[in-house]
Amino acid sequence: MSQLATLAPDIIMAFGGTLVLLLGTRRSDKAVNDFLRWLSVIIIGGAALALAYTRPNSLPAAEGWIISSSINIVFGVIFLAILAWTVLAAKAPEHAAGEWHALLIYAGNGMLILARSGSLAALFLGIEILSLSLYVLISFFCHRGMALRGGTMYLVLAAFASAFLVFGLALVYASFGTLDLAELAQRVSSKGLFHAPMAMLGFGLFIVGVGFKLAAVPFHMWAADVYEASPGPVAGLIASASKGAVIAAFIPFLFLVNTHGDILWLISAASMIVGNLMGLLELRVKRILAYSSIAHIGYILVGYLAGYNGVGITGVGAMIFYVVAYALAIAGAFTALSFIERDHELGVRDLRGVARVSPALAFCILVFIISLAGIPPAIGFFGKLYLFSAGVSAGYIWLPVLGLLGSAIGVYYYLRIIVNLYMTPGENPNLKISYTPLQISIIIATAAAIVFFGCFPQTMITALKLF
Amino acid sequence: MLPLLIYGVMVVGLAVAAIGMSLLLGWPRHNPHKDMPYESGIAPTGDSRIRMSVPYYIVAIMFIMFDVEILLLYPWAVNLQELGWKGFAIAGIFMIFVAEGLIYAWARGGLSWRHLSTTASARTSSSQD
Amino acid sequence: MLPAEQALILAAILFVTGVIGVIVRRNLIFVLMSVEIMFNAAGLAFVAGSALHGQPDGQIFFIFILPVAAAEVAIGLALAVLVFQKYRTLDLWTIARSREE
Repeated sequence: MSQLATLAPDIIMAFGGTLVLLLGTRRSDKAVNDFLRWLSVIIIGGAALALAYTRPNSLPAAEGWIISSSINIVFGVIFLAILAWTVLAAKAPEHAAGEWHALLIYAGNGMLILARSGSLAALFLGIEILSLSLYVLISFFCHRGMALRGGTMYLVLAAFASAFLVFGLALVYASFGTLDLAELAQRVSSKGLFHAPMAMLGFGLFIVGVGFKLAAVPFHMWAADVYEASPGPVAGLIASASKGAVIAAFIPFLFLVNTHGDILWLISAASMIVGNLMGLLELRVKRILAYSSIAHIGYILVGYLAGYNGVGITGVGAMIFYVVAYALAIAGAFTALSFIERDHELGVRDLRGVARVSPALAFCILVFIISLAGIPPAIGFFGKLYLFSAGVSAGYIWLPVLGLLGSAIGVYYYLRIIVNLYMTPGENPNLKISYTPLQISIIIATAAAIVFFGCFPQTMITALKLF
Repeated sequence: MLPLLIYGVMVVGLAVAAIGMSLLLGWPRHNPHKDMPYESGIAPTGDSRIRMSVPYYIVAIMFIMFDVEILLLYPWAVNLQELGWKGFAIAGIFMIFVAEGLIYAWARGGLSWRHLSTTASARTSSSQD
Repeated sequence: MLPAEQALILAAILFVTGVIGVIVRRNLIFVLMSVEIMFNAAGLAFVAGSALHGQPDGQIFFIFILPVAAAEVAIGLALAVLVFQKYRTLDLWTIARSREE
């Protein structure tokens, strides 16, 4: 019975998604769309409640495929919250609201499985359920050529990356003979990886696959195009929750720091530098955010490398804190930008006059950008502080230095957005902003949360039981 | 590290060899008989580029999905006796999700050939203007 | 009886063939085929690993790889229909370079 309790969130999500999908086929008008939206929120909320009330470290369910440690539960609840947020803030398409909401729920189900995976098989299935839903969500508005192109590119590259990942897992399985993550970590520590070349290669391929999903630097080519092509809230979801879920699934592999630490170090350093430099050269807002998200993955990897080392603040704790801080800001920024209607792609100059037309929206975007840049009153500042201090106390000197340098570069392109936001209009007469009261209140609530946790970070640390 | 290196070299070497050898050994030689589409077979008639209708294509995609989904029932079928009623219940839940896909396709007109061909032609004409 | 290591080597060759296919080919359909080859190489490696260790987990994993690969390809083919209707080509480079709107 306790097994069923552990699986309850997944069961709720799977059946709920099915229900929404089938209900959506009957009629499509505004009333039905609103009903489906709230039904999806209720389903996601129910799953989050069921997850929050599972006891940590209870019995693993489904033959050890799903585990529930406290970290995994925290991650799962956060991802579901971001998902519910996306469902509420996004504009569902008129003709296919059922499919839209069902796919979002299925993506959430994938993230849940991924964040709580206790075996290589669950990890693979979680990643695939998530990516398969995202392929369709990206190219949902396929009458826009860009959406179709972005979706196709993402499909080809992500499938390629998945193949790397699963072949890597196959080599790991062939050399250690177990799919269970805890068992695997034990066998790796007793046998040692250096005497198992096949497993070394396998983990290398696995890192390539994970790097693709995270858009870390040598594997980041898709990020800018895909974010630009996808609908705003979906881009936010890819950048925040889906990356966070992959990071959560990557935590059980902390033993890789001993063997593949150099590679991870390089990926982290390169992501910080290249992401920020590319952001500097970009003039289109969504692409700037895409490059900044690449840089943020670099920062997060500093915490991963620090692992459980650190005085008071462990690397993993700092990483979770940062994932939450970053996810709130980037999801908010992408969604807020999607309210500004353009028939072509949103450039920095198109932001001129937003502050006059809608001061509330401009202020929210300002808060999100400040948090991403890591400027004090926002939560992003403490996120970076914890990450880099964990990095320093774990003995990495150069990574935090590079990170600070990168952040300094980053401030420039973040400022470029803010300056344009608050510039006087006049040359931007065809600015059109449209949102419902619900959408703007959600955005404002998120911005408020960012400022609140930025002023009192201790509340979040105790709430998440991090350090 | 050395065995890993050997392994890597072997893998890449074999793949390159397999592709390279066929290029090296099999110089492209042309003669009328060799250039026939089916050498020493029946000579084809008509254009080989027949236009597949889009409904056919979509039905084929659906066939692939349902075909492969049923594969997941094989391990259960093999261990039917040992798994008992619990296994039966789990397989039943799985079948609900397979049936969901079918009901969805049905409700959206994916099983009606006429519906598929009208939507496909509507899309094609709208994308051209 | 052949040792399982040889199956692993075959899987690696298949995998590299798939990688080369994805990199060299420019047609969407062939790229999808190459990805499918890579997935199936992983499946073969799993089955070989399960034979090496004498336990069924790897074979179960292979059964999970198949529907996932089929789903990837199904979505890919559905996108291919739309891409062809829009661009009148399946050449990935042409599609990537076209910057309309």
